[in-house]
Amino acid sequence: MKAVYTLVCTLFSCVAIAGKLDVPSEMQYPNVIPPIIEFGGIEDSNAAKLQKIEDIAFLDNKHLLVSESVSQRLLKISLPTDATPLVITPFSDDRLLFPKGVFVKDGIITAIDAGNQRLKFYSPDGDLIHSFAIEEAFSPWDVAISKNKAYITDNQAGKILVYEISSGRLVTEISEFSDGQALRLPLGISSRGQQLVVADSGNNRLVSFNSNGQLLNQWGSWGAYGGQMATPYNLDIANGHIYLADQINHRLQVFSTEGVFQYQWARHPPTAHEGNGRVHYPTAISSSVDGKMVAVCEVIENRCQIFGNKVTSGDIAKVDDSAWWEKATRFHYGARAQCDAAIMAVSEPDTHSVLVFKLIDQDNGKLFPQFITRVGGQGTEVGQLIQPSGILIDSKKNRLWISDRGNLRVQLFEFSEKPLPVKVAKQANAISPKMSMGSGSSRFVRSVAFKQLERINAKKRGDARYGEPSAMVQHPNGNIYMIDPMLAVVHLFDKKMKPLGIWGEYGKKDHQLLKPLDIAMSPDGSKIYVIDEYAFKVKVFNPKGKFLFAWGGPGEERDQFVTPFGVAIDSQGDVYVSDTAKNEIKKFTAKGKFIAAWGSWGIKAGEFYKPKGLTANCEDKLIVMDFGNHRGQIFNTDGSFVDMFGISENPKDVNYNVQ
Amino acid sequence: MYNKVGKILLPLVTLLITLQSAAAPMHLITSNDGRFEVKIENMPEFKTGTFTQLKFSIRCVQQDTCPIDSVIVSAAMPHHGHGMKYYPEVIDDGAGRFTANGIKLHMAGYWEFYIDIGYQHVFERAQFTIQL
Repeated sequence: MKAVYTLVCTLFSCVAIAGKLDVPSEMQYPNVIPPIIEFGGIEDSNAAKLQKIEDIAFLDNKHLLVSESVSQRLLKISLPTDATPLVITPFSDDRLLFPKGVFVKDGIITAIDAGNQRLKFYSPDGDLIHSFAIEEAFSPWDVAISKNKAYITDNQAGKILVYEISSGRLVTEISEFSDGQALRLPLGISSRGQQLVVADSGNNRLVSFNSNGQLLNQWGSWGAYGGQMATPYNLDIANGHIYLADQINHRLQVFSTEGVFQYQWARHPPTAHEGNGRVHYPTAISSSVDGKMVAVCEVIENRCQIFGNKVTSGDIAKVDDSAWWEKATRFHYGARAQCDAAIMAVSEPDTHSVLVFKLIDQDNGKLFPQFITRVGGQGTEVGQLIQPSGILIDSKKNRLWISDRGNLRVQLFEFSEKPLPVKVAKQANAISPKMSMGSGSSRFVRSVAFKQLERINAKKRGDARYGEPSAMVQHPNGNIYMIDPMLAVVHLFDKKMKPLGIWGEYGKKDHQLLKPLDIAMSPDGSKIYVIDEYAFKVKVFNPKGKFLFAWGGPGEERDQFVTPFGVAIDSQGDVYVSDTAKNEIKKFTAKGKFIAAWGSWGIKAGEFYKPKGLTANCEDKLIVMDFGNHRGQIFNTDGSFVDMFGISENPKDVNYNVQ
Repeated sequence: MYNKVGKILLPLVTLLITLQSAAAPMHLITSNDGRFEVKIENMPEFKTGTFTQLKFSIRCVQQDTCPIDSVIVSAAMPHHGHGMKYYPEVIDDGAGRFTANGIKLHMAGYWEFYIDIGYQHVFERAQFTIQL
């Protein structure tokens, strides 16, 4: 394991030089505090048991609970002492399906069973003592308890659902507070006494309210300085503090319970996958009962770090060293990638944008992506993006559609290698001498909104026609198919994004969908392949929505999936699926017969760290977004490695080839 | 000598100014997807840090894009990654005419102007650029 670590160091020294990043010395970052305990990550065998950490909560001062959605269990972790090792013990409940938020109050453990749409209650020993259905929740994410009520964030629906614990009755739902601002992609929620705080991640703010739903305070805005946020993900209230996992800023922040910024600690690792006080997309945070420890987990690294007194007491420098960070977090290639002939586009969560590349033929005949332009940028105004969730390229017209689940709309952009001209009608006789013909190398053209009010008012999936715009694919006849994970349906649009129809229904049977994640189409347009994450399957339909067949299922066999994410189809009709937690790409025939698989956890060529988006329509090459390694990898369709790219604005500058 | 030149030049300059006013450039731009034509009625002399008014009219090229629901005017410096510090107020003057008040470009440099035209659930952009 040590050898790999050295290779990583070598790798990133290359990156720093190539990207001309002015990496300051450690001395300039006093807020990187070593943890008192660290487990998981690339050097620890415990990582295998923590492949998808959804949430954490301290049970007491010695035990940490983890909800983990690969083993589909709640895990009770006995923290190590000088005399005892770390022990991970699964709860006995083996009927969980995609456990999400977990919360502890008065020794009772509450957990969301998202796949079964239930809220479950356990004793400290892990015995199931109570549960009820939460079928009104489209995408239950996190839970907090206050005054005999359970407050559940519904991420995709943009709501907080409030249930009476004793009866399981839905009491009310909150989609906005008295300030009039609608919740947007709410994630973590926590409570202390009658105060609740929710991470309103799409609005980059925290909202404090009481158990009656009355707004107490709200604070935060998008940015990297202290008190600002970039996708606030999860939080905990303890010891007079609010601890926040500030995901895309790769740091932790501390506020008073009134919302006043106190201090921040940790930052993104300059060395790939380094822990020791560095954090990479922190997504879970919890304070111990005595308030002397804070645990922070990173789903992308399969790792948790527990910080001690120095952090909880605030005995750290109050240095705001955020400014440099914006540069370093560029080019975190994200979940979505699409090709059309020689044009490739990749979503990038850190900058809320989509990067457009041209695949150029190198001297040796290998294709390599050359950066053209960046499209979007963080915001809610037209032309801006919150969370790009799907891409569709028209390389002939140099245009691309981008669906944005944060802003609930689909937007059309135009891109060019050269400055785009201002469009002038034929009758126009002049352009002012002060007006330039150039307007940059990309520009917003048009947006089509999903119907937001209809969506907010939806009590069940059948009530709304539009839920959440996501991955898209285009039929040879020009029509566009888009999956809608919230409603578990597929939308059909014409090539100008005019609605033509909708098909699909929510359910556990093979012809139904539970949580569609990605979509691809056979070259002749006769078959549509949909990844159904919660069913662990690839489901195949004809263009009219008639179910044809499916394959997969949960497991590690060659035709099963652990966490299927992306699907792509090459010009021969063969199907590729990324299995994120298994760090593997699998290849099948058009009918689902297994052909090959490759990849494992690591940073060398052909290895992956949570691969996500993939696209095969790239001049007969397969491109995989190796999300956790901040890079893309290029393969031949037989799985043989071709090249990789990443981080630098000119990807070819970066020598990633680790032999 | 000076008087003679002046007598010749002054009417000439006056004539040129008059001619230029008569043939004031009509700034007609097509939106980025071709559904609208935007005519800038008064291309103002933009100055750094000064509030300016922009008058324009919008014509639907395709009838199914009318009526127009809303119009948003903004400007940005794409190379600097920021926009204006103020949101201009857009007034509907009727008959497809609009006035944007409160435009203030706070920096010299390259600016892009955006007129986002909303109809049904769609926004389409018309844009032009200026160099301050």
